[in-house]
Amino acid sequence: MTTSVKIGLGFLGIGIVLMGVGSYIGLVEAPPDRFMGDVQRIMYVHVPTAWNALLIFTIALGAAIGFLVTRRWGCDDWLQAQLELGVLYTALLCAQGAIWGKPTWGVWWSWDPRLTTTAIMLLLFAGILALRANLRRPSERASLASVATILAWITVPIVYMSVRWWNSLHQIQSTPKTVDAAMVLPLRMNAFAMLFLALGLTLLRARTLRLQRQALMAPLAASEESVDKSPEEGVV
Amino acid sequence: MTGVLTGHWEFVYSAFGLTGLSLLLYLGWTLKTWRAAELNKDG
Repeated sequence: MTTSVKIGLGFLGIGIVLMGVGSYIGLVEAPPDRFMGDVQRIMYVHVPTAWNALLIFTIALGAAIGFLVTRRWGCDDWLQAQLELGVLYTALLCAQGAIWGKPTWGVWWSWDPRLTTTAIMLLLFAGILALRANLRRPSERASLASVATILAWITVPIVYMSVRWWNSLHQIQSTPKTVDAAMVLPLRMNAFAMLFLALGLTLLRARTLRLQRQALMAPLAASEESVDKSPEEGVV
Repeated sequence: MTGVLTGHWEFVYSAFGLTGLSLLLYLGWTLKTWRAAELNKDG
């Protein structure tokens, strides 16, 4: 077992424990909100998911720039892992928001600036995953996905600032400074839980993608010595 | 409870349940594909 896998499994363990304890405190120990009552407890998964989704797409931006600059396949593995996780987290974010919106706003969905920009961000990054799945040449896939990721990342600050730039039904960004002190602990614990889970899953997915790429390129390497130096010619 | 909204725990549990289940499913798939890739590497 490689060091990265050991670290990844360790992160996953920490994330699962933190998520369990943080969710228990959020569901049982923390007080209900003055106006929203117990429904507000959805914040303990919704806000950490939002923070981490934006962070994951920003790491994806770094991986995309890293690949275009260095042409290292490790950057592309990280990009793929971050895209998968970011899409998962953002889809969860939209679902959690819909579940929270129904009892508080009276509707599952509204074409509010925050919700609309988040949906656009989700569709763009899901589209990049679809693009990757339909390109066979590794170098073409990695280069196009990197460029597309850089362009799609523009939605990240737009999503974050949408509640301030436009008149939004959605409340402004929640931070430990904007919530009651009794709610800070479960919010922070679940935020770190989602972060550790994301890091652990990324390390495992990056390792898996590397092994899969090496297995698919091995026949090419055997028949063509230059494949390691020019992997862009390999067809995966 | 002084809230305007009372109860609605089904929404709270739905949000937590959906999040936990989705993450567990993705974790399970990640571990499964990783094990398969390691076994494939070892021949």
